[in-house]
Amino acid sequence: MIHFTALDWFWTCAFLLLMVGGAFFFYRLARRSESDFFLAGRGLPWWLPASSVFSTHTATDTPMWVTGTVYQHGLRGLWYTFFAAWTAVASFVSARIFRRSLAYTQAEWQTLRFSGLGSELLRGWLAGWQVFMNMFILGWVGMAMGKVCHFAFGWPLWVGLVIPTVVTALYTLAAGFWGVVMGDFLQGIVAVFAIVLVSMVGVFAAGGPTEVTTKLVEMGEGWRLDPLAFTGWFTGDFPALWWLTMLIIAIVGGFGMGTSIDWYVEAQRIQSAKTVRDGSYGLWAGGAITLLRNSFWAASILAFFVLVPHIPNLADYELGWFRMGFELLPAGLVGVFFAAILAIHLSTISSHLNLGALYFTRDLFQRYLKPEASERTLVWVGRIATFVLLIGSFFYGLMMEEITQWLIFALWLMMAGIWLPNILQVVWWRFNAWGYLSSWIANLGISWLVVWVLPSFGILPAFPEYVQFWLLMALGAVVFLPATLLTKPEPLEHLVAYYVMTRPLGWWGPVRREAIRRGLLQEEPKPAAAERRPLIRRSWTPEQADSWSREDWIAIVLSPLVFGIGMIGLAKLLLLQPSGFTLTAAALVGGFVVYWVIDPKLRAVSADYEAKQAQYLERLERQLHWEYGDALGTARTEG
Amino acid sequence: MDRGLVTLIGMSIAYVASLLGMLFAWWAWRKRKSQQPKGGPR
Repeated sequence: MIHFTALDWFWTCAFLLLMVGGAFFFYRLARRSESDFFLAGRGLPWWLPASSVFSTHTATDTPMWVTGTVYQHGLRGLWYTFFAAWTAVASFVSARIFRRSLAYTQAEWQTLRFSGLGSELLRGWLAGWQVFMNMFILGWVGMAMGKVCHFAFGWPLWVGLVIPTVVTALYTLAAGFWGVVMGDFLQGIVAVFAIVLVSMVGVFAAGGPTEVTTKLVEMGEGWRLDPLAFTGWFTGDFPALWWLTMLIIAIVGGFGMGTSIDWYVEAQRIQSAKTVRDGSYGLWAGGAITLLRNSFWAASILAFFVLVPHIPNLADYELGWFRMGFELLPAGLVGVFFAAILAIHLSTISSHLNLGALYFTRDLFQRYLKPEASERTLVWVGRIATFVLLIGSFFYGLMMEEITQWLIFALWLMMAGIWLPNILQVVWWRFNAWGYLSSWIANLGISWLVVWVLPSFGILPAFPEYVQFWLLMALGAVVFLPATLLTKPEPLEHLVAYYVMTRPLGWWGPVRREAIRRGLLQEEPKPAAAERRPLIRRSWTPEQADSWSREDWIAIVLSPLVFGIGMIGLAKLLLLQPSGFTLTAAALVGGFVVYWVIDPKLRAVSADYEAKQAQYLERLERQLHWEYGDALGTARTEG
Repeated sequence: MDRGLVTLIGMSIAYVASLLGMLFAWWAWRKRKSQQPKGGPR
């Protein structure tokens, strides 16, 4: 238990008042419409979604998880956190495509990409899954807060679970996504301050950066400073193939939608951005800050290892960063530190409350129950859904802690079987709703077989997790590829409307040719012999900007490199290792090159798209009210 | 209990929620179809 002085309580209350009051301030904006309550009116500049991406993904259990990983693995443990690098690619691919679709949710996007009964079944499927998952994540994160409060003050678990979550629910109910995103901005500032402060205090408590590295070497633990300290190709607790699998899942996953469980949260932030460009930068910057945050934690956890080496139990060492904050900071700053813990908790809780309510309101209530509901009714349904999610989360947190633990593991497994379909639905025109739905359903049966049934009967060995991933993916393909190819493609007129609106990357040749034939797109004129294309084009016409070009590929390839080098480089820089300076400088230069190459194109894409957005939005709302033959206004009678 | 088994049980629970959502969508779709005039757009 820690000792809290009056000054600590003052700072905690002051910051709490600022963070919650700041969010409440936007109550009047949120009640205007469904778009305001769930997307902040689609008018946010990039830095607000960026801070929201960072704040949402810094939950109370995140420092525990990163601490546990780095304490066990050293700097190589940072690669476990590198899954956030999907944002590096997605910022320039799927975020751009999703933002142009204008879909409120990933479930709604399914009805824009696919058509007919299959698309509606997918919308219901994803909406049900997301309402449940958000409730479960709320319970899981709430329980982590309960544990932190128990560790710090000796409070019963339910106090830490219920009270901070209720405080969050109050402003989320009142101010909707406006409150979430404005609260996230304020909470993000407090969280960054505390993360940098505690991490640096931890490093200096161990004697300073140089002393940490020297002591690690003296202890025979120098390998902990090597981010590529593999234990073999296939063997040990950090095989190279596991690392490669993690990289592929993260980076290639950026081409898809839903390849990471975080996509569903980010999709809301992408859509709340005022332009396509703001959506891209919001995701990119949020992902980058999230990874750099891990670098600060990693440096301090190595210092914690020097101070308290070889703690045997995970439950003890995963609290290392919290211990440093509570035990090393002076009176007054401990209160600021606790306020920061509240900040990271509030931001995650508010996001998931609002997101779960969004799926319920938009995809279940409005689409399937009452399409003609007024804006006022929809805002109130959103509030009621928020309240129900709140109560449900207490149930998960208090009554079903064990099941909550099961589901955390299940998330990883669940992603394996649908990882490839999540990419194919974005990049391959022929992939259809039945193929995607079959991949979800087959995933459950195949997972049971590969993970438990066959190993239990000795028919298959119990594979390591990274082998399970590839096996589940391959077996899933045996189901979803025939399901796709044996059923009809989506109607061409539907695909053409979707293509013209979102301009997806990948294998869309037949759809593009049909769009050109119908006069909906112009073929890019071949340049005259004397007119040479510059190596990097900095001036774009709308038609040129809508096509994928080498500038996009430079950003797509360079961006994850910048993220990886930046994450490792900053951790090493904080420990004053020479390679840290070089890597950090390389990441900065790389980041600037990405911006220089892609920014003119993003500006051109945004300017052209904004001119058409009002018309697309009107069409989206008419589709929601079942006024069209299908999602994109192509009247048909298929079903 | 075996970690793989508890994982699968957790995954199955999440699937129940998806199934309910899908059944709801199917019910709404059927209702819409029965309300619309034959042969016309929805």
